Amino acid sequence: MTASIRVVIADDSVLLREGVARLLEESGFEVVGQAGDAEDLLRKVGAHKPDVAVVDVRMPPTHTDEGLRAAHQIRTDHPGTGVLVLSQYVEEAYALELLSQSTESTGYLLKDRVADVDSFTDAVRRVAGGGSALDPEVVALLLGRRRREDPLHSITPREREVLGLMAEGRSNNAIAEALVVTERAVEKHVTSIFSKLDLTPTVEDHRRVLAVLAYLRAG
Amino acid sequence: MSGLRRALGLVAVEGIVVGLVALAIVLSSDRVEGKAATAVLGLFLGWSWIGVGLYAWWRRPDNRFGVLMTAVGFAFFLTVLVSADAPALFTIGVLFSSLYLAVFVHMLLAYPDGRIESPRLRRVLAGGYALALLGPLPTLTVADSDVLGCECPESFLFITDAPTLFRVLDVITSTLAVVLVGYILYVLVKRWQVASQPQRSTMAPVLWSGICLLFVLAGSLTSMAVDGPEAVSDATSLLGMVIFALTPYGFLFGLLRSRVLRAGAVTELLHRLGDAPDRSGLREMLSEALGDRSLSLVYWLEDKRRWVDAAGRPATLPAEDDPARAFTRVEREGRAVGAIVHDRSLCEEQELVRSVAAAAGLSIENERLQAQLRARVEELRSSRARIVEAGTKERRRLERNLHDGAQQRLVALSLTMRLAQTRVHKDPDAAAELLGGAQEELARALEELRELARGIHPAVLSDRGLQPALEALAGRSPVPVELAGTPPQRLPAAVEAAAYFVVAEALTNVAKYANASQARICVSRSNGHAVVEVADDGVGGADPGRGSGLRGLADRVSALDGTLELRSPEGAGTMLRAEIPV
Repeated sequence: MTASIRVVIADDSVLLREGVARLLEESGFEVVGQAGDAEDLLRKVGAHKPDVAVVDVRMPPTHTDEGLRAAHQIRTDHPGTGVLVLSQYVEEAYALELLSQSTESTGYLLKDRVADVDSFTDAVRRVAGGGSALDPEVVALLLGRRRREDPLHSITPREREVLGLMAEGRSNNAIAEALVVTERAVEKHVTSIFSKLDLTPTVEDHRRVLAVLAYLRAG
Repeated sequence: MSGLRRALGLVAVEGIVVGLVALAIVLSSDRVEGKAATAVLGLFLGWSWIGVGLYAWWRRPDNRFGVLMTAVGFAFFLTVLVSADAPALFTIGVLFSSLYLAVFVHMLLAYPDGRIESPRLRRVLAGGYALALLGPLPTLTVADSDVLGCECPESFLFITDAPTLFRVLDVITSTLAVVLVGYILYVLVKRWQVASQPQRSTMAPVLWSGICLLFVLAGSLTSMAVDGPEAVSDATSLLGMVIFALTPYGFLFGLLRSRVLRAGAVTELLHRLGDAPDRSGLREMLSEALGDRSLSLVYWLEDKRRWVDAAGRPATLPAEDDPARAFTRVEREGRAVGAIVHDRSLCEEQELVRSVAAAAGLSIENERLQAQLRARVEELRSSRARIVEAGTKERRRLERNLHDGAQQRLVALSLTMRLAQTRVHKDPDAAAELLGGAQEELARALEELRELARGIHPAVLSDRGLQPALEALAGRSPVPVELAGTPPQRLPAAVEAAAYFVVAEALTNVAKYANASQARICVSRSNGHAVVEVADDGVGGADPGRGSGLRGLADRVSALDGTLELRSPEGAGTMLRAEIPV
């Protein structure tokens, strides 16, 4: 299954682009195109129709948020292509902006994560498969935000971990694996969290992420 | 004004009539030797005082000095009644024979504005009046004409002939009078000593003639009390009369001289202002025109709402009740442009100061603009220096952070990699462990670099504006923060950056010192300004001078022409507010 995932990479740094390409190819992905700016990226996505585009936020010509705008464009024009945005900084505003309409086939990671091969390829796979990926640091920031009357005080540390992994976009199965518990136990935690936070329970992964993010953001 | 003129006219007519009556009394007297000379001298004296007094009264209606001078003249005419043959008139004449001296002393003490503020001096003056009225009583009650040595009519109040009692009472009243006159002399000399130069030049004629006259009076009283030779007594009283006659003219001379001199000075000032477009000597010109070497000029800065000197440095005006200094505002088209700070004595010549102020108005306005410019330059110079210094400091801080942080980690990393490289064949496990450590070190180096870059300038601020940037700040604050609002439209980049760093610094301080349970950020636009407010519910009492953070912020804000304000009452929270023109 991994062999068939096709990727386009966009980053203005050739060194980094090549590095990511090599890393992904070694992990069994097929890198079908590389782009140095947003225009080039859109052209290559249109031509190759990849499963996922890995996009840097800052690219020429203005070095501000070209990658982010290109990501929106890709999600609108090519629903079959997922977008994983890589950012030099943790900007929760960008992450939430990206994930606010839909968490389907969308991800936001810190650029450093590419060094952690397993979790990086896992995220690329998730996004390519229609899921979502949100950087743990952004999740930590959202969870760590101080609120005046904080309902998060009422949840247990274990539930907090589960909530964080949910926000990162992991499935129950992946959460169970990460915490070394049964999937059944994870389901119980999820139900408890939803009732404590007064959220409507939902089974679909990306709807669940959306709800959790909306909740954390509103706090 | 015309009401006053009519009243003064009436007083003048009364003066003439009273004078003529006095003339008639002297001329019809049986006892006076050299009637004509006495009559003419008396008439001259009385009319002099009344005339000059009325003139002063007319020139300065608010000043009671003229009234007092006029009163001296009328009181003097009362003494003429002593020459009357009718006992009743004679009695009244003797009774009031010293009143004019009391009024004269009153006038001296009340110089220059006609008022006596000091309660002690008022008591002294009351004593003077009492002595003037009670002093002649022994003469009227217990002395017969032998004692007095004249062919006087019999007093109405005559009781009995008691020469010893009369002698005793006479010595007592004379001694009291000498003491009183001595004390008044002391007060006047003291006044002269503390007077400023301009005060001296106006008070000189009156004060010196007054002092001379009192000396003479004291001398004659003393000689009478010790029963000195008649020739001395006669000579001193003649000298006294001459000085008394000259006093009003001395005053008149002073008044006219200052008017003539000053009127000329204003005309000359106008010429000189016209001739010298560079106003370098403006202060000197005004100081010459007003005869006050201590004069200084201050200018009003409307925007800063404060007074500054010519160099633009903050200045203060003398207080309303300052005994030595006073000021006169200078206005142009109803707006305050400056003030002339001068000796208090010039308040006597309001009219003159105002006309000088009016003449120099345009020049003062120009000078004000210069002062305003200098104040601004001064402010800019110091804030620019502080900004440069802050920039240097900030660069040093960055250099240190890079050197102590990321750079050290990368050096260590380089060593670790080299080590791993040498072991990769001999001991693959150890090499893998080393590489794992290197990976962690690298992650930390990256994190540090990220934080550093964010601190220099957050990318999201320029990309997305204040709302997300402030949300990010709020999200990272250890104290719960409510972001109450930001303007819907983007602000200029420099303003956004300043607002961002105001909030960042404020939140850092809230976390460090305020001990607050929550904070609130609000950014709004009002009246062409961006208003940034960060308030907390903490302990307050923040010191605006604390650390360089607030100072740096104030400079950053003032570089954009804005203002920074810290409100932090003890125990009632802290509020940092910046207003930056947009």
